[in-house]
Amino acid sequence: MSKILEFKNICLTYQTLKSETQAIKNTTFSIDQGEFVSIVGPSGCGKTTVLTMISGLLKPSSGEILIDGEKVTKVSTNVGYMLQRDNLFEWLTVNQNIMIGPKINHKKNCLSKEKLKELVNKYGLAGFEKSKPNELSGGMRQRVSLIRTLALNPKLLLLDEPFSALDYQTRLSVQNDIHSIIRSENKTAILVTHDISEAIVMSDKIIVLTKRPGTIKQIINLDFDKSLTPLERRSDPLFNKYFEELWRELQ
Amino acid sequence: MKKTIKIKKNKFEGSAEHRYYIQKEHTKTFLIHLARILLLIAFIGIWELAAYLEWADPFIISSPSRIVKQTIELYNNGSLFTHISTTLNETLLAFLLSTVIGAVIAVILYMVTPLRKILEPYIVILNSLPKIALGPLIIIWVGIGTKAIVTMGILICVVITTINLLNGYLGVSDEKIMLLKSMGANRFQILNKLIFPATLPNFVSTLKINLGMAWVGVIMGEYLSSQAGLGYLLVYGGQIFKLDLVMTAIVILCILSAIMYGIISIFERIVMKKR
Ligand SMILES: Nc1ncnc2c1ncn2[C@@H]1O[C@H](COP(=O)(O)OP(=O)(O)OP(=O)(O)O)[C@@H](O)[C@H]1O
Ligand SMILES: [Mg+2]
Repeated sequence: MSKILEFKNICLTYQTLKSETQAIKNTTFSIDQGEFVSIVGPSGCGKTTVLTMISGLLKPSSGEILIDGEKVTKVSTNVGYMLQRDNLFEWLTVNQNIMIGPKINHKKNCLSKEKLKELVNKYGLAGFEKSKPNELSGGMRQRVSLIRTLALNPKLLLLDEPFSALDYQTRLSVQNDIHSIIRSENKTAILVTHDISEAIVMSDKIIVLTKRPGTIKQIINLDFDKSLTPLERRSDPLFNKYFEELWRELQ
Repeated sequence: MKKTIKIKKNKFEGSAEHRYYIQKEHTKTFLIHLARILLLIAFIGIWELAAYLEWADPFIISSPSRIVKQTIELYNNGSLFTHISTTLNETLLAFLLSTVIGAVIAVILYMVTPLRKILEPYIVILNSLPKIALGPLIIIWVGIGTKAIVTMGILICVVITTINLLNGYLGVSDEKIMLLKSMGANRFQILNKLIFPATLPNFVSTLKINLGMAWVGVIMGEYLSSQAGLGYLLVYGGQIFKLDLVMTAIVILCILSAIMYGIISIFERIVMKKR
């Protein structure tokens, strides 16, 4: 398998007048094309920082990040960044929200209108194209946000705790949805989460970070049957095994 | 309260409770309007009566009928509309120019952070400066008459417009900006797609404030130097001790500013819907 992302010996220190904070220290990992990877670790250990650097919005203090073998120097539409809050624009309709990315990029390298319409239908948003975000449920908003990210046809998706604002029930079903969307679109994804079980049901590989300054503590490869959905993984015997392992790692 | 809101949102018509609720709300609105009109009538009536029965000297307090008479007199000697249009034009000009200038400055300050930081204290000082103090300077620099009046109007409006708009722009969530950046948006796209639409409500409320300030500025300007206009009437009436004239000018001002405010409110509704 080809490596889509190489994160090489990265350090990052935030400078402020009052202090400097080393958020990430000597961290190296790589991700293969088509992999679903979760990053877990204690609060404030630098998970968001890692994603922000991969997105090109933040430069590492040292080390280099390669995407498809090319050094990341600025924002690229090859990478789609889905923030924790959906940040939908309240004054735009669902359709217009989805089209923000393509509009900004003058439709270059974007999904076609037909393809987007198909996604909208597939993910339970048919009939809501002309609705404003405040008429949608939390789960629907999250799906709009995902489709908005997919509209630019990124190879690599960065998901920063995308489910944390949802209630448990919705969360389980949106996990299922988003997992299947990402699988069927054949994307590579990096998911940051606080939720151990979420990391287990969604990913092929889990990266555990130490507390700040964050660096890799452990990488756990999960070998669930490829055909299982996140929901089905929850009742798989392997689930408990991984849960205990991760739990210990995070103590 | 919660329950009534729910009922109101319900699209099925016809529950008896709902109809009762609607009726009650309509009645309430009607009564409020009625009370407003009655208050106005009572005010005018008592004023008239007070003057008629000479509870107070009509020479000092004037009276509604004297105001009407005065208005007709102004109309007959042909100066009524000259005064009104003079002030109205000056106000509109000051309002439009200060909005445009204020918006341009606000956008520049928003985009150029160092400049914003450098100018911050000066803007605060300018804002708290009583602009009327600049009166003599204005007259010397731009001359008397319309130019001076509009300049005064602009000076009064422009700083507060800038501050209001800028604060609106700065209040837009960083995450949304980051989102657009991560999609490859440049600075102008961020302005266009996010900052302007997100702050549209703030823009409209700034317009409202600005309009009120424009009236203040223009009347002040007319106090300073003018040959015509409602402010001129006020000063002139005061000087020759003709309070009917003063009161007439005030009443016309009230009516005009109410009409302009109404127009902006309609504009607000259209804009917010189109958004
Ligand atoms: N812009 C910034 N300036 C200074 N320090 C920052 C900045 N952003 C983050 N930090 C610090 O860097 C560290 C890592 O932050 P980061 O947001 O990456 O953590 P996180 O793992 O995502 O935390 P959480 O799980 O709570 O979201 C934290 O200690 C934080 O205080
Ligand atoms: Mg975070």
